[in-house]
Amino acid sequence: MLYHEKTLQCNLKNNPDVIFSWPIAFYNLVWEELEASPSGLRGSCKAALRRLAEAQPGAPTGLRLEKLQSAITELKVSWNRQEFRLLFFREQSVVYVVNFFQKKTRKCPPSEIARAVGRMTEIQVDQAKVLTRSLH
Amino acid sequence: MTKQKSSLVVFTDLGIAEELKDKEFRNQFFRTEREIDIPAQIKALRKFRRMTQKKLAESAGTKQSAVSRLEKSQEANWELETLVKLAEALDSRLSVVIEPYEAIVGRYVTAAETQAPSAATAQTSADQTIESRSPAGYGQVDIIQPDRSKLSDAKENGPIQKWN
Repeated sequence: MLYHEKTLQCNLKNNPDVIFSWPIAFYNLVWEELEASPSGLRGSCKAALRRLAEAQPGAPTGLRLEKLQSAITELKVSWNRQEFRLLFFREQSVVYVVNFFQKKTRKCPPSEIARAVGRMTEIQVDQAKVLTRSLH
Repeated sequence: MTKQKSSLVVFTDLGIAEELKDKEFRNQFFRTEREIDIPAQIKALRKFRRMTQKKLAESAGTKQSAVSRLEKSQEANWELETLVKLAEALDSRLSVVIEPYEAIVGRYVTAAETQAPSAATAQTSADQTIESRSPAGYGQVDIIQPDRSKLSDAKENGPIQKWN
């Protein structure tokens, strides 16, 4: 059973000690970058991501979110007077984090958005392959 | 930390319970949670009270732009007095709880880490909203929110008198 299936199963079993959350998946490189970042920055990012995973439709999240393009959304995180961005998309109840970078310009750089879109496509193609294999 | 890796993605529970052992991590983690929670609670309560930002600002003796900024999480250094005024304007109670991290770290153990679906008992996703991450949980400044069941009741039957 996949990790996120296990998470969903546990969540749906109504454990009161476990806060319901949607699974989070990271593009490999993004996870490595996040894990290699200073612990304070990781703390900030993981608090925001945890809230994102717990977000209920229609309820205010308190998160700083901005819709970009092609289903990509930007999650804004501050740490040490610096601004960081996590770009993600949601698919089949999973939050996929596909880019993580320090913001240095006023607007989200198109190159970073393009990178996120490229990775999203990669993941979608990969999932389609897995699905096709499982059907045969 | 529980994680599963494929060629492209890592599924993870973020390993928060483990990471909280690091003081720098947890300081920033709790700070960020507070920065997220307070705006979310104020916005939810304002909507529940069917107040505009302008009306709330007038009641609290502040400006609409300040309420807007606060709800957008752009104001990290709230003064306690400002929060008290906002809580009063929202006819709510401001509660400040300071908790040692050892007492709350268990709340950050995730479903996959517990690995005990059979022992699971009581609440579905629908029950888990802002209340569940609320006040008592984080040792932060919180504005106590109304019961959601009463909230829907109030929506259907008119506001607050139904509560009492």
